[in-house]
Amino acid sequence: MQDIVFKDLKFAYPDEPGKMVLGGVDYEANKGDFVCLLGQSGCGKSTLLRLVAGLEKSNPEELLVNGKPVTAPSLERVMIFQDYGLFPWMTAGENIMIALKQKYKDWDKSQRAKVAYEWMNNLGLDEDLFDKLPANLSGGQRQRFAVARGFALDSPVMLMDEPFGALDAVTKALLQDTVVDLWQKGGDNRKTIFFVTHSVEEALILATDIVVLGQAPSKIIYTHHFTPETKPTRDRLFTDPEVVNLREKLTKIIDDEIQEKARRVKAEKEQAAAAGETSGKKKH
Amino acid sequence: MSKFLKNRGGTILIGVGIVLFYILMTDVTHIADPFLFPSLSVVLTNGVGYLGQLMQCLGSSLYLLIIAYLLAVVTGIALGTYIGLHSGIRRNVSPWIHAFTAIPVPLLTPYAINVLPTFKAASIFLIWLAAFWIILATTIGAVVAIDRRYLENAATLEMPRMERLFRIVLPAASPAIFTGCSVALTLSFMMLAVAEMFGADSGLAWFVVYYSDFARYDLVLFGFIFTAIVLVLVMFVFDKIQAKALHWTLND
Repeated sequence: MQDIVFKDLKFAYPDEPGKMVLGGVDYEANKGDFVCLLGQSGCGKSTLLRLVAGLEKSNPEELLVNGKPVTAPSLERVMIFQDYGLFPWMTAGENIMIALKQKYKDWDKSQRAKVAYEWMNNLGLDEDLFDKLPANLSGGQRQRFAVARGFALDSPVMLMDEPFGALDAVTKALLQDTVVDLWQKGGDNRKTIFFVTHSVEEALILATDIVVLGQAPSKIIYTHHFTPETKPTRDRLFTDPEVVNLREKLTKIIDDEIQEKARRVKAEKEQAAAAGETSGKKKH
Repeated sequence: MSKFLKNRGGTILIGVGIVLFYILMTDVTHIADPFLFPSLSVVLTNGVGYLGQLMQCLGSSLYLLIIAYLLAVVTGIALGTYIGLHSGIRRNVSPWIHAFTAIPVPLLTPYAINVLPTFKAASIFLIWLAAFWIILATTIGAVVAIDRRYLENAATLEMPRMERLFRIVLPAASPAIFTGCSVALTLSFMMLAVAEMFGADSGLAWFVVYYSDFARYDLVLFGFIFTAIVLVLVMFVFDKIQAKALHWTLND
């Protein structure tokens, strides 16, 4: 399992070099941590995940996984997307099989199928869904297959970008519990998970560590670490005063950021309008 | 049978309607010129005697069409995929592709006949060219338009280049590529007819042109009907292949 270290990580997309998305993120995740990234839309949560995945290029000194810079995508850091997690032209089972083929090159087809069925079973998926196309599955089943594929690869780092964002409440709760259960079963070799979410409740249920990003160019504005004793459970989410307080605190931090951003955007617009009027008067 | 009638009943009805309209215009009302539009019974009775010759013509046409079209599919998709995946090359060659696509292929017929050693080679070249540009252009567009999340998903799996090409890039681009191939097939038919009008001694279009020179419009019409049936069958086979390859995109 691997440590992930951000050292004053800054980032702008190459097509908009002047627009910084990350303005200096400092953080260290220990191996086996379940880190939930919270923050308003557009704050750079997914960008941070893409940088860890190697889908975007970071400065080699600013992002280290297990002491090494991230230079390219790797099977050591599996990514689970909200949509497009499965290739729609392959059956759901083939989607797991093709991933296993890349990781375990010496396995034959029957070995890959056996492991695929095992993980389908772990995620509560019926075996007859193996040959179905993703289009013929429900949203929940599709995400179960995506999670099954992620766990089947047994990568030390899992990166999950709002994987349950589009699911109904019941399916979402079931999948959250399944993911936590599978992660905990890893024992001392638990995977390091980075999980992007908009939901404070989801972060409280899943995380060992909650990280809140501020508005772009973003930095970390709040972190919270749970010990095994203080880790909230679903039934304590709305009853335990400490958890309720933390939930309200996190919600307020994010809301304040949203308000602050709205004020800033309004002020910028007013400034631009005033500048336009001044230049108009000068022309006259 | 009942399922077939349920699905294709409308198609059959339209066909029956066209035949009835022709009979109405010829045998019943005599509105149509009987010289140019002979009675359907005359067309069929006289035409049957030429079925053997038409089958030979079909062989000649299919020989040219299949070689040229398959060549266009292979070269168009291969080159289009390569260009689509390399933005630098795409930027430089795209204007030239647009320029060449704008040249009507029939205008190149004299060049093809004079430059290439045989009529068959010239015909195959012209049919290939007519199909090639559209397949090339649609393949480039299809590859460029692939949702990058599929490619990123493949990248996180460290999929080797060839496997990524055949398991991700081509399937993701296949709906648009098939659309291009379908248009290219229609263009190939049209170019085949043009090619057979110059120097051919067999072929479906040659049959029609040859007998129109003798004012045998009964045979001309029989040739039209025969060619139409062949085209419908070829497109039927194409649709079957397309439906099998794109089963994951179809709603019905």
